[in-house]
Amino acid sequence: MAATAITLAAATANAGPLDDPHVGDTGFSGPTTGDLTAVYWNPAGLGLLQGPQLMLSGSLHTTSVSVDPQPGTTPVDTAPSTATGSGTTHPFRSPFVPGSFFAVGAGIGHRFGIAVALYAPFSTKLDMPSAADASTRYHLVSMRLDHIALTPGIAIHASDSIQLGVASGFLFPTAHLVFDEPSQSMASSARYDVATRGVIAPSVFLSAGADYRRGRFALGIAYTSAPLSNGGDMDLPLDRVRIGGTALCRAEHPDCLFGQMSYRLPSIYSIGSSWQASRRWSVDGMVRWLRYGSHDKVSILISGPGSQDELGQKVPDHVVLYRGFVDSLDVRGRIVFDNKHFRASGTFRVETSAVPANHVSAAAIDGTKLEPSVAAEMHLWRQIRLGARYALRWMLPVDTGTSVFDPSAAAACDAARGDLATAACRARMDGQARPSAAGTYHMWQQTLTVYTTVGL
Amino acid sequence: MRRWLFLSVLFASCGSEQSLEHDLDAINLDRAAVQTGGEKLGGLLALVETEAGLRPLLVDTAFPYSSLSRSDCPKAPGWSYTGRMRVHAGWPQTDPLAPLRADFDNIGIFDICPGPVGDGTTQPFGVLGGPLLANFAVDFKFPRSASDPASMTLWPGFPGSDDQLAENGQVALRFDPRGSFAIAQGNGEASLTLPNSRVVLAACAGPRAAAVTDPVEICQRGENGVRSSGENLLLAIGTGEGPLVLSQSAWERLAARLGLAADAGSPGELYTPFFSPTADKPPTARFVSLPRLALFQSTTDSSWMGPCSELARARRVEWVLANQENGSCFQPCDVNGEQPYATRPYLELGGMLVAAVVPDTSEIIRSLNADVAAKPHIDGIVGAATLAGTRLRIDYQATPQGRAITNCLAGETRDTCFAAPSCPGLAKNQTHTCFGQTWTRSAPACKAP
Repeated sequence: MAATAITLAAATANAGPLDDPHVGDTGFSGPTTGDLTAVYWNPAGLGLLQGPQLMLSGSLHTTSVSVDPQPGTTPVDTAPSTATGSGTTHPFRSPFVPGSFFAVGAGIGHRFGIAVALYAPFSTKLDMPSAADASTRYHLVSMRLDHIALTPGIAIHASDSIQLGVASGFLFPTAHLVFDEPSQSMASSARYDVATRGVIAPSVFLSAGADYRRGRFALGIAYTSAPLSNGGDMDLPLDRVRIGGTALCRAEHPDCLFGQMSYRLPSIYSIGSSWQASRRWSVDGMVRWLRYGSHDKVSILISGPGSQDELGQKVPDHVVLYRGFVDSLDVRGRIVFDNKHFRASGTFRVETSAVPANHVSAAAIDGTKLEPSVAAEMHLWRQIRLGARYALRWMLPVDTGTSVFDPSAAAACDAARGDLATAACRARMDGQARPSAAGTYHMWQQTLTVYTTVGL
Repeated sequence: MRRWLFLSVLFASCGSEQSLEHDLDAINLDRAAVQTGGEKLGGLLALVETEAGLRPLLVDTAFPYSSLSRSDCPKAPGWSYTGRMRVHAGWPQTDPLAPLRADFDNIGIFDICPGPVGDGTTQPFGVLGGPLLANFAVDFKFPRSASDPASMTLWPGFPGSDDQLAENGQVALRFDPRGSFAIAQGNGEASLTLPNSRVVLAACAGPRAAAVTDPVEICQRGENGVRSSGENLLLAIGTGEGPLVLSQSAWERLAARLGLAADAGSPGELYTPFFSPTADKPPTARFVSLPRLALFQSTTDSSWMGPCSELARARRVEWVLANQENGSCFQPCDVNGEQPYATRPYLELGGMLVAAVVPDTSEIIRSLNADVAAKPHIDGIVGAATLAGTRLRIDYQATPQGRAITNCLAGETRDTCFAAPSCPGLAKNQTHTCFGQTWTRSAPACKAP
C-alpha cells in the first residue's frame, strides 16, 4: 500500500548555523517514522522496526555565502569589498564526518526495537579567505566544527498504539578555527589558528520520545538534551595552537602552545504528525524547537611557556567570540506518494533565524530560510531500497543594521580599567569588542543525499 | 567539574541559581603586611561593595567559606544568607573609584567579619573563600616586589595536560581538596556542611641546599629515606595569610632536623582571618626563618616515597642530567633496571622564608583539621609571602583531581624559586624538558657495588 505523507508547512522552520537539519532525513523521515532514522528523530519510532535492518546514507552539502560590508567597518579605512565564502562537506572519503548516517538495528518480537547510529547532528564548515582589509577576518577566516554522535537507542511497545523510546548518545567533537584577533588599538592583528587533534573524550546526551498511532493518524514527540557533562559546556582541548607574527615557542619545541575551547550546544524538542489521507497519499507536519539560547559565546583559552610574559601581556591568552544565538524553529510540511515499489515526497521547510540580525557575523550567518526539497525511493531487490533527496536552501538576505560588535569598546574598557559596570567592558567581556560585522549577508545551500536501506 | 557549583548552590539558596559574572582578565590586588612591621607581601586584598562604600575583601583559598558582613566590622558573628558580592580591584587599596571586576549574585555568604590581617590594622569586611573560588580555575601572581600589584584571574579551566605543562616548564601538583566540615549556628539549632575546597600539598621543609656542581651523592637501593634531608609536612595554600604558618608540633619536628631549639625565634602577633576580630588580645606566635621549602603533590600512589625523599631523588637525577658529559650515571636507588624512575614535580621556594609558629590548639590549626572525615593532619599554611615570586594557578576544575600549576616569575633566581616539572624516566633517545634543559637520555645506571 502506498504510504502517503504530506507535510503542511506551518509558519517557520529553523536550524541555526550549527545544526544540520538534514541528519537522517531521507525525505520521508520525521518524529513519526518507524525506521532507523528514528534514533535521531524520535527513538520511540524504533519500536516500529520489523526485523534486522541496516542503513547507509551520505550527503553532499555545499554552502555559499557573500557579505557586503557597510562602509567604515574595517579598522583599515579602505573601501570595503564583497567577501565571499564557501564550504563543502561529504562523507565519501570517510564515514566519520558530517553528512553521513550509518545505522543498524532490529525489531525484536514486536515488543522491542533496538538500534545504534552514527551521525553528525551539529556541524559547520565555512572558509572565507578574505583580503587583508576585509572585516570578516576578525570573525572568521575558516571554521570547521564537527560533532559526531554514536547513539544506541531502544524502544518498547507500551501498548498497541503507544511506543516509548530512549537513546543515549556520545558526542565526539572536533574543531579547527582560524580568525584574526585585533590589538586593542585595532591598528594591528594576529592570526589565531587553533585546532583539536585526535579523538576527544565524548560528551553524553540523552534522547527520549513517544509515538502514538491510531487509525490513519500518528503523532510523535521527542526531546534531545544538550550535552550533559561539564555542566553543559563542550570543553575541547586545543592541541594545535598557532599565533601568527609571534615567536612564543623555542625552535626545539614548536608546539608549546595549547588551549581549550568552550561553548554550548542546544537541546531540541521535536513534534510531528502524520495523516494517511488515502491509500497512496499521506501528509506529514513536523516542528523542531532548537534551544539555542545558551550558545552565547565561544571562549578560547591559551597556555604557553611559563617563563615568558609575552603571552597574556602582548598577545591575548584568551579570546571570547560572541555568538548571541536565540532559540529557533524548524517547521516542515511534506506530502508523500507511496506504492509498493516506489515512493516520492515533496517537502517545504522554513527556518527562523538563530542569530538576531545585529549579531550576525561571518562566523554566524543566519536568517530566515526557505527550503524546498524532493525525494524518491525505490525497491531495487527484495529487501534493498535505494533513495535520493535534493534540497535547496535560500536565506533571505540579512541586513545587520548597527552591528552588536563595537571596535571602540576595547579601548573604552581599558580606559575604564576593566570596570564591568561600564557598557564597554561588558561588551568586551561578551566578546563584542571586535571590528564591526555590519553589512548584508547572503547564503545559499544545497544538499544531495543518497541512501540505501537493507533488510537483513 | 561542577561539583563545587552544585554544593555551593545547595548551600546558597533554594531555587535561585547563583550568578558568577566576571571577565577573563586579571584583577589587581593589594597585599597586607606579612606581619607587624613587615613588607606588604601578605594576604591578598580586593575591595567589596558595602553600604558604607568599598571595604577590604580578603581573598583566601584556605578559608572554608565566603563571608561578607552586613554591618560594620568588627562585630559578633551572624549566620548565613544568600547575597551578592561585588568585587572591585584592590590595587591601589585606597582608590574610591576602583573598577568593578566581578559580580557574584545569589551566593551563599556568612555574615561574619574575619579577623584583622597583616599588622592588625587591616580589617576585612569579608572573605572570598575557597568554596566560591572553587567554581573557577584561579590564576594568582605574587610579585616579589611589594610595589607591584598581585593579581587574580578567574578562568573556567586551564588548558593543557600535566605533561604539556611540564614541557613548558610549569609544575602541576595534584591534590584532593579538603576542608569539608559542619558549621553550626549559636547553640547548634542550624548547621551546614561546607564543601571541600582547601588546597593541601605535601612539603619538604628545610632541605639542605643542593647544586649540580656538588660532589656526586651515592645512594644504594633502599637508601632513599636515609639520603633525604628536611621534614615532611602537609600544608594548605592560604592566599589570605602572610607568612608560612606552622603548628608547634610540626615546628618541633623540623627544628630537631635543623638542629635548632624548639623555642627558637622571636615572639610577635599573627593576624589571620581565622581569629575572632572581637578577641581581647591579638593571637601570638613565634616568628622563625626557614631556608627552603619544596612543595609537592598531595596525592599518593604505590611508588610515592614522601616529599623529602622525592626531592632528594629529583636532585640526584638532575645532577646526573647536568653531568652527563662527565660520564655520570643514575644511582641504584633511582633506577628500576636500567631506567630511572620518573621524578615528581615540585616547586622549591627559598631566600629565608618567614614562618609563624602557633600552638596546635590555635583556632587556625584546629580549623585546618576540622574535616568531617578523619584525614592526615595538616601542619600549617603556605601564606602569600611565602609564594612571592611565583605564579600559582589553582585548577579546581581539573579531573580526576584538582591541580596547582606553578612556575617562577621572571627575575627569580634558583635560590629564591625553582620550578621542576616531572622528569619522566625516559627510554634511551627519548627527549623531554627536564630541570630547564632538553634531555635526551643517554646516561646509564650506575653499577651496584
